[in-house]
Amino acid sequence: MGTTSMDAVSLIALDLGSVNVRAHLFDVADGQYRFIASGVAAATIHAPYFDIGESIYQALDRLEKISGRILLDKDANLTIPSQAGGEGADGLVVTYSCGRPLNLVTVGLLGDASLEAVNQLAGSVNGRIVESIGINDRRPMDSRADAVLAARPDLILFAGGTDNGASRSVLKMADLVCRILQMMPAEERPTVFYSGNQALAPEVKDLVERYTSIDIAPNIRPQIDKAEIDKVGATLSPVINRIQANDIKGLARIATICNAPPEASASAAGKIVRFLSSVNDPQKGVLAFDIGAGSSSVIAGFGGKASVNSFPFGTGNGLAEFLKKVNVQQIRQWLPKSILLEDLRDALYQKTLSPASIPATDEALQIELAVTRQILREMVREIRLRGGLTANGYDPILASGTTLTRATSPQQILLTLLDGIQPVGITTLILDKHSIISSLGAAAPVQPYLPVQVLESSAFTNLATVVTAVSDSRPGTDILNVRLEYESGKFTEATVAKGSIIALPLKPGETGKMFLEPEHRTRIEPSGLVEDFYKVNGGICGIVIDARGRPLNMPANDDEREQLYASWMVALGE
Amino acid sequence: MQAQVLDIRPIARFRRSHSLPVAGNVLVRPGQNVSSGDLLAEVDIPVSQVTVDVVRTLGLASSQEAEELIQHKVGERLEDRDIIAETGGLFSRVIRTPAPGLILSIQDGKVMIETKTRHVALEARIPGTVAEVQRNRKIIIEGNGTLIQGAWGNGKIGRGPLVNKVSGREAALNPSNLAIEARGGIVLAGSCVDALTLDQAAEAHIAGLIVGSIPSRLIPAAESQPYPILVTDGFGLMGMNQLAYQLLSTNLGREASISALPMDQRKGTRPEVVIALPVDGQIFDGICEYKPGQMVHINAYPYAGQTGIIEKVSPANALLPSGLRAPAAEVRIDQVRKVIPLANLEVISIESELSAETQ
Repeated sequence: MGTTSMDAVSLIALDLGSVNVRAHLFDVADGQYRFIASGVAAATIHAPYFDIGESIYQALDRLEKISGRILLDKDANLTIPSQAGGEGADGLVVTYSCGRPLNLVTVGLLGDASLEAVNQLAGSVNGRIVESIGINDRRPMDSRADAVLAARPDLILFAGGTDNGASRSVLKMADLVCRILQMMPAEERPTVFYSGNQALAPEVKDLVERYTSIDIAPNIRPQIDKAEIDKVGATLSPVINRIQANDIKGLARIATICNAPPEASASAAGKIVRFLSSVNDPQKGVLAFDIGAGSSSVIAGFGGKASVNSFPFGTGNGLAEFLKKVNVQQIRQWLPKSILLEDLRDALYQKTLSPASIPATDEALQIELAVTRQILREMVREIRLRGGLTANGYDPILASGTTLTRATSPQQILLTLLDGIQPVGITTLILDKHSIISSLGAAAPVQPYLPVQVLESSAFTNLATVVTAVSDSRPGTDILNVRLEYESGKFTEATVAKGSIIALPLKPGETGKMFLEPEHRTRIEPSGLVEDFYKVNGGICGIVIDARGRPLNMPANDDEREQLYASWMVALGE
Repeated sequence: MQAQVLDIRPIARFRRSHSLPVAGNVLVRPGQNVSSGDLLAEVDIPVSQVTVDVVRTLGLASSQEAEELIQHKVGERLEDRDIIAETGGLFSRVIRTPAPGLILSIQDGKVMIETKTRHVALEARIPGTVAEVQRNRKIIIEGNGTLIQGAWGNGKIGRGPLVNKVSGREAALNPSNLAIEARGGIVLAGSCVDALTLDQAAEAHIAGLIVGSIPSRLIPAAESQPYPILVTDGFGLMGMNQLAYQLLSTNLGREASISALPMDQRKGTRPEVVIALPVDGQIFDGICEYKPGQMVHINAYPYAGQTGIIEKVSPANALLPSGLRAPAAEVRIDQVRKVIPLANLEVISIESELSAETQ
């Protein structure tokens, strides 16, 4: 492992995705950390290389060409630390999302206590809960054991009992876990991660170690009314790394020269969300969405805490999994142009055969963006079910993912996000156009100033400040009067009708004062309050007032939908 | 940029790895010739168990007492109603096994019995010779012949003589193509449009089906068929690519082996047809770059299934009709030039790559 620490200045951050590998360069310029450049290469985790190392080399090679900085020595190794002549970099961190989704089994006691907590922890891992067992499970012990055997888990997350609390029940569950492990061939036995009653940890360890490896973590529920998901999540991260390193050839090798252990991308991004939620508006949370090829995530932060929610679906090799969850009609509702359901289905399933393919035509691009919208809808629905959304809304909302960042216009990206997320209240939509948020999270322990300074720079794109106006009035009714005063003293005014979306110009870097006058019981903030005015920051799409309704209902008629989309894009300035 | 490759060659050497999930019983040895579908290895994996608590059931004082009464050892097989333990004496209390099975463990006065197992049989996906056996788990087979890779399969393996009753690479399979001559054969068609025809093919006892494309709505019907179905080009009604159709048509009557396992990028496997031939081919490691003159197959909507020749590879990101920018190539398809992202192209003419390797 390289040296950790504050004396690292330039940093390379590698982000290993299932389709692309990115090499980002951060360095100090004018006394501040800046994002300098990125090199991108196709991931080689699959055939014919089956090793991520080749794509890391190619990404670094591209980064060299783009940045003009020599990073690799004559043997194609990364030069660390940087040399007197400026070659190389001082540090390296790695994040990854290219691992396969894991099969998780959760074992706990009560459904609304330890089992709920460990299920929430499981939600932060790129995987699926294939079996969940609690003390109130009515199935006979043998049936529960059989169900876990059939599920073939990669990892068993085991919790239960407050510290110095329930012991007999925990040991009974430990006995069940051991019974299951005993049944399995040694090569198939999953790792066990125990985060229960700490007084029992030595005994549980003794029992389980006879069969498989076990990691002991702090109690996820040390008291009945206190859950330590964040804290336990941090100790789960190296366990996940170890399991994934078996699948991601080349990860263990690159880890030997990193300044910190490689980290799952969503988990690393969680640190940034946690930080932002501690420094931003205390009344609101922070949300971060990432739409990947193989997996996607949404991280919700509030008051200095963050919950990471990972899903094993995406727009590339995660599409097959997604199509098991949704029906094709749900995706079709987002298409601005008419397409036969059968053709759409064929196009979607064709994509599962060529996950790295890129939309070559406008129709193919619209299909991909429609899938993105529905993935966003599903993630919002799921996090709502998990109780992870705060009623006061979110500001800012960050978004990343190649599908978004490569869209043809900022208006297209904005509309995709608004249709998919359907935010409420007043929020700022920020695009992570270089996909660096997880790299910043990984860099934080190595160089704490780096993420803070890069977040304040122009590396992130302010898409728009969005005001959502919700009203029960009939479409076409005027529901909101807006006045935007610029720094120059000039102003612009608009009246917003129910069902419409408008954009008022305010460029990035500019600020303005926004006055809102709702009519007909129109609601802006979920809390119901309306300030005298709001200080707003500009964005590429300016200030957007979205009065299209929540939830957003798309017309079933193809012609109507096409006209509507065209009008929205014009309204947003395309 | 590393090219994606679709291996379609009249003469190829291929090496395929077959693995059990855990170490098991290997039934072949290095040097042995095998045919597609032959059993290579097998293992039984426990899926169900029952635990008998002798202490509690007999009301004993300790697990030690229980273990003295238990009449069997770990590894012994119990038949239906066999006695596990009994107290003896005039009023003997008896515990019988609740189900037949194998004793997995005896610990703390409890007997764990494996009552059900999942039998895993590893069959050869291709004909050839066993090249290596590793740790009673992995068997590598090498062979020579015609190789045609595809896009999707229904997970089954089979073999039989190639039969073609359709009129061309875009023709759909219909019941009249499934006459008695198709029985036991691997049937060729451009596409298949309905589930009924797939069912009728099963009734006609065909050994397998190779189609260019099927509508995606037929996936469940295809997966439920007892014979292997291999789709060469993808989902829709685009027929079969010219090269695959030609190669298959020139081998009619010869025995073909279909491995219709779905594409698995992590394992590097994809569905394929092999026609064993007594020739020496070359192994291709899959590493090549996009170059002008290569024949390519398009794997993405809306041009999926079409083939063409690369005329030019753009030096920088090209502007696509979708408005996106990406590494791309100008591909001539039926005299029309189209700009296609490299990520949507699979190189299918790799003879030049093999020639380059041997120079």
